[in-house]
Amino acid sequence: MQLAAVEPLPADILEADLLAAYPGLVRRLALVLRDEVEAEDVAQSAFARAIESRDRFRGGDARAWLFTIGLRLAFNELRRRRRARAASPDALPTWAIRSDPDLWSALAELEAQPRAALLLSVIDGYTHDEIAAMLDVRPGTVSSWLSRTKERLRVALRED
Amino acid sequence: MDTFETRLRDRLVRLEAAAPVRDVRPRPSRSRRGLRTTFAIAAALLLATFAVGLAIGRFVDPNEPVGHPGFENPGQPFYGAGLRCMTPPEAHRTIVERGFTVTWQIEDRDPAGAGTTSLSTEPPPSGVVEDGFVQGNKAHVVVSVGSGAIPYSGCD
Repeated sequence: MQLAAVEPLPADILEADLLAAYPGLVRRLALVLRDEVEAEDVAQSAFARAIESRDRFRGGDARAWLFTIGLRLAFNELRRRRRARAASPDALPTWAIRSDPDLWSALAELEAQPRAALLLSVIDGYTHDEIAAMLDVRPGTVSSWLSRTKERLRVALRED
Repeated sequence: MDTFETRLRDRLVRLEAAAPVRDVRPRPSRSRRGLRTTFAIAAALLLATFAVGLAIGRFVDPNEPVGHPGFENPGQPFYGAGLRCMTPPEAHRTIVERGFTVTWQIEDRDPAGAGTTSLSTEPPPSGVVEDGFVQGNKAHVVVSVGSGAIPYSGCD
């Protein structure tokens, strides 16, 4: 008897999409949180939350959904960290030193939300409306952030 | 997209790609994991880290430039200076003699320590110079201290 191929359930497909997006989320959070260990912790929490609330996923871009959860948790973590201690040390991780220390330092001058918006726009190509939905702000705010952050980076990186 | 944005995108992509990811899959939640499993995973990770460390030590050419300005890479201000073979105080003197100020990023690699990072303008009395970079007349040097600091293999 030949068995019909078993189609994966939508939930399995979603989990597979989330797993595929997971390493990218860890790396993104390393730039937003500026701490790769915390990035992994927050990404873990984001993945667990996404799986727990998978019933609320309405289809579309699973990666964007996971990133939205992860970034919002990261902003909460930054608020908690700001309350817990005055300022984070100005240490540079070895991997950033080996890659692009100037850019790492320039990104440090940006607030976390504009920095996240910049990454979503420049690396991922999300529109201002999409970024606004992900970060729960108005599209005009995103436009303003992107314009200012790019100008600041142009100056900081001496790009004329 | 203008040239600046194109260059910025390339640099951001490279920087993000350099960020380490220890586990490419999320770990199961800690509460569901038994103590024995936790120890087994920790031992496996320790072995894997040791094996990768050995492999890097064996196969990486110490003179090969690695990405953006490690300060001893060809073309960089301390190319050939051998800072990674010096004690931190020796390296400090060498850097200062060449007109640079130094920030020391001290990584505590002692297994008993908390793996802490601290910054100082003074070098630690001992330790292993790992890497660094130069911005203008400022040198930023990473040094590992404690029993877990592994000396650079390219020194005589």
